[in-house]
Amino acid sequence: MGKTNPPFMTGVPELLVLRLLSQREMYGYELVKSVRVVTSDAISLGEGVIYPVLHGLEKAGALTAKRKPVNGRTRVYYAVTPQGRERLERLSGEWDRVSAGVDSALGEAGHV
Amino acid sequence: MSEYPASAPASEFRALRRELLRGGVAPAMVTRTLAELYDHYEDLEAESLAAGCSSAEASAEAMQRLGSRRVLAREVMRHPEFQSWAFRWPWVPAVLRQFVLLTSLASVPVLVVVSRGPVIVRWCVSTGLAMLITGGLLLLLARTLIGRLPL
Repeated sequence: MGKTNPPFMTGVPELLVLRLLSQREMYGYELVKSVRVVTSDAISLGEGVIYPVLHGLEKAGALTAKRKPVNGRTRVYYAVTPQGRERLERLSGEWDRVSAGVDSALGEAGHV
Repeated sequence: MSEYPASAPASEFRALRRELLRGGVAPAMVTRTLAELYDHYEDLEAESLAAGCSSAEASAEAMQRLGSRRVLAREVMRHPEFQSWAFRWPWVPAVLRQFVLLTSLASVPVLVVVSRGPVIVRWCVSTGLAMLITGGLLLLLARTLIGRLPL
């Protein structure tokens, strides 16, 4: 594994997964590639770590998993459920609140 | 996922499987996670091969990008909802074992009677008849003997 993300990144993979899957269904490898692209490589996951996140969200009813044959292989595609969309809205709201707070604190610190 | 191609680092996947099972993860969840990890590994390996890496380099690169076994195991085991019910409630198998044992012990005589019903009925009837005949003979003998006694 290359560089790892600090502990305050807890919950971020879940937010990214829900956000990306709310646009279209994807399988694990495709999803990790999308995370790299949309975050411009700022967020680096051990790629296998995506699966416990996906399975956890599926258990929570936020995602559905469907097997599909693609080019002679079976891939597991994940899609967001209505419950997942509600969760995404809630998490996005929390993230906006926290990041606004951090931005404000950093701005204040810059003026001190 | 029971078999891996020769190119795959099979020992790493097997070791991860053992670690997850030891950690109490449900066998179905272990199988599913490993299957998806292996698919991901294949995609990563193909990507490296397409980029011009040798087979060995591609395999090593894919394993590195997938993440270390320790981290993967930790992330899966962090979810209590992935654990098997036997791991979450260890008293349940013990209670079930006792229940099965006691039920078996109690049901053995009943099953024997049910399976050999006609034989047991014949035995009971024969024994009952034999007791009646013997009792009758003894009664007759007693009456005869008492009748002859000088009372």
